[in-house]
Amino acid sequence: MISNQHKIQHLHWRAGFGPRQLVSAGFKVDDEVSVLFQNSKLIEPLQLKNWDPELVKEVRNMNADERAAYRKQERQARLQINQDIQNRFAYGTNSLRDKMTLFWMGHFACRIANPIFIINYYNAINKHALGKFGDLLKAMIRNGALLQYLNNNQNRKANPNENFARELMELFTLGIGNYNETDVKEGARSLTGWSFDRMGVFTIRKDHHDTGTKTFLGEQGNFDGDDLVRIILSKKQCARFITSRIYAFFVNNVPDEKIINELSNKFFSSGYDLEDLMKNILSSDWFYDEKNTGSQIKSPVVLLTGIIRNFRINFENPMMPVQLHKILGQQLFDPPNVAGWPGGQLWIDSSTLLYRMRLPELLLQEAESIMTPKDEFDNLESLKVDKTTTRKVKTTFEIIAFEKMFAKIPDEKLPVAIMNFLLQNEVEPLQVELIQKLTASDRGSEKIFKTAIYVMSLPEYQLC
Amino acid sequence: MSQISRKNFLKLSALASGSALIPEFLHGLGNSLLPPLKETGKSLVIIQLSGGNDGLNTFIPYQNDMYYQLRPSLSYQKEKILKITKEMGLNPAMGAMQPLYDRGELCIINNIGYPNPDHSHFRSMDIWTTASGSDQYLDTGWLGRYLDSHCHPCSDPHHAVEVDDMLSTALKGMHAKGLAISNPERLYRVTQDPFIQDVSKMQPESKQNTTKSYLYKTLAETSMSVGYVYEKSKIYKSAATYPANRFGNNLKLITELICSGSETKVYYISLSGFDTHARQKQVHERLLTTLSEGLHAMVGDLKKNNRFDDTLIMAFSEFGRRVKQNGSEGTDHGEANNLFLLSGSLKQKGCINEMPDLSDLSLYNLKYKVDFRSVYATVLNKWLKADDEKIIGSSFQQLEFI
Repeated sequence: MISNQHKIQHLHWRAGFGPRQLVSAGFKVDDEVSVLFQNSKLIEPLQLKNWDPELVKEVRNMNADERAAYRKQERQARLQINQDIQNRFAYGTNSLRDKMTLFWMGHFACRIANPIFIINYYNAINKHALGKFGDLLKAMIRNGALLQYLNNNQNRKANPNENFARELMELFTLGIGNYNETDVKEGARSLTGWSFDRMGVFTIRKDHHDTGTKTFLGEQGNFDGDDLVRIILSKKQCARFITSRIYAFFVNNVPDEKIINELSNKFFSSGYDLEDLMKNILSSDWFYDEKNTGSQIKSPVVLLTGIIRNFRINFENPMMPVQLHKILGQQLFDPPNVAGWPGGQLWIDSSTLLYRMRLPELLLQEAESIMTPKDEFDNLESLKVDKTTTRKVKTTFEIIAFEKMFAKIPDEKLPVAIMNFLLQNEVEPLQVELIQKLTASDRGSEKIFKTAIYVMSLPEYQLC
Repeated sequence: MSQISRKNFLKLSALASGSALIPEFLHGLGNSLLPPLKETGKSLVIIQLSGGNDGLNTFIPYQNDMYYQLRPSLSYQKEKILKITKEMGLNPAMGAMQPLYDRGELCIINNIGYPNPDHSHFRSMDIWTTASGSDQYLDTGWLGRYLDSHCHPCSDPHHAVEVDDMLSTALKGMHAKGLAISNPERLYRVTQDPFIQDVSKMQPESKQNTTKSYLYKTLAETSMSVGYVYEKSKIYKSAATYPANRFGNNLKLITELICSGSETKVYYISLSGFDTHARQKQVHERLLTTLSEGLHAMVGDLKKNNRFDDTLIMAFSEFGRRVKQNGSEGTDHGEANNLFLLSGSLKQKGCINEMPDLSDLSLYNLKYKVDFRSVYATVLNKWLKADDEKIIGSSFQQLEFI
């Protein structure tokens, strides 16, 4: 039986980045769900800082040194965006929209370097994250970053490139086996000329667009991108595919066919209303079943955000969150390939597990880092005697808020209380004993702090 | 064999009360319980040249006029090239490789690639590490799937060791994963942390929660495998001179593990920096010098310890570079490339297939003639005695080099 506290925390882990505070007596799951949706109404576009997108026009006239300086500035701007997003995830009040955004960034996986392209991509996803799926899809097939990543700027009437059309069906809407090679070819023809300018703004290059008749998924006409979206959305399979992906991300990696069927039927009838779909999931009873709680491996971003938000961690080196994302295997705007982050057990191998378990010490006790990111293709790190990267992560943080939650709890009950807050699994008596032993000589806030670090260093903290 | 070691480990660790017992136990395991596997076992060493190595300036077609025409300032003068066949020579920076060729220990395969080549480092490396087609996305690596198929569920992480902090996709299987370890002592210290030791012994019952069991299983395996590699790394210390840089140190560690009789089947190591878009010659020569000198030292060590016949080394890159040089004394991303192998048991030696055809280019890129998955299939089937078709997902022609 899952306690009310664990149910509410479950909601916050899955529909956000973990609970910020202890659940007080009288809190109800339904109320918390309503608050999540209420807060998700607000859409705040992220602003581009420290970057002049117009600079991109000058690049071709730059000499090697200027170009290097430009690349450096570009890296800084990328860093700033990553930091801003990490801060939103950790401290923003819009957790559900933020978590949906993270989901879609894996779904519409895209590797992006140019800061203005990143901002436009992120803002488009964030805006439609909980709206109608059709609107999101229409925004995506007009997005400069995605069009570029999938080579649609090379998709021309005279010489079609099928990449975008194929992924549109295979990864974004229908799934493999629900279309044939003709659909790919004809889809590609419909998307010819759909391109973007230097600033990433969508343009249709009329000369390159094929205006002939196409046959796509059983329909005929002079189709363009929007027609493809319309035809795809008319297939129930699309609702099913998206529902399955959402179920795997928010509920369980192991599909429950009956539930997915019911959800996707409603999703289809609602005209692909994502908010409605999420409400059906988060307000259901089965969402809080034992098999669905504490059974998912936190993605690197969720893991890190959970610790940051509880202790309000500030990094001395602003590069650090991005470095940590990279080491743990989830760099934003840099997924491994078009299929996004595979997730689940593939987050965990020997090194990442040890690193994850030592993360609390690393962030809160200046422990030595045991990993540095892999070398880039163009750097010569392998020729150096040793890496120069600092092995310690310098941070400042606050423990007052955390302490306050547990200040009145008697010493002997402290480990269980903290475990119930930080872990979504049933408390293991052996672990309680171990932590009690390890913190026996500590008192007051020191005891709370140390207990929290031990609890977050348990394998169970990797789960939510 | 690994099944026994796993079982014993779990049994003993359940009985052991203090963490101090672990290293002693593992030490004992290395000496008495396990026969020295290496006497029959073969090892595979994969060297990933990251960034796109310029194969044409590595193994140079010095008789081909097109090479000189398309690379007016990036080509090497004939008299400086270290000629190994009538048509092919080594980059002048690869002096240390020449004796290996002369002794029949080097095999070069030209025109390696795959259909519909991708010019992105990331995607092309993804294709090489997962052994996918260019229109296919796989989550697991080819060597990870070898671990999965080899003796699942008993493949321990130390059966595939990557000398790095982070594990490459190549070594990630769905069930079994390799071990990334760059400094055995440092990682060993981490696994010996009393808290981690105590927790890894708890193995809480969780029939329902398979994810939780997976975490504890990984933790126990990690602890054991790191201990195993650490113990092995202390047995044999090489006296040879390796390049005084990280790649050299990493190669030395692999050699030491092989010579110590580690039961590791696969070793993985990267040398990065091959993305030479500008001022290529200087950087490329430094990299090739390190690579050649490192391999020279490694082969010497392996032979001294009678391991070279049981070791196969393969060096690859995600793509070659454009045949035509660019405007910045460099080369851009290309397509087909060459690949080389080293071993004491090569059946085909030297340059084993036709030279690259510089008169038949696709937009100044070499066309592929041998699918890289043929090389993988051969290595899996003939060297590792594994089911290549199951691991790669389809059948590729077996080659004759081993």
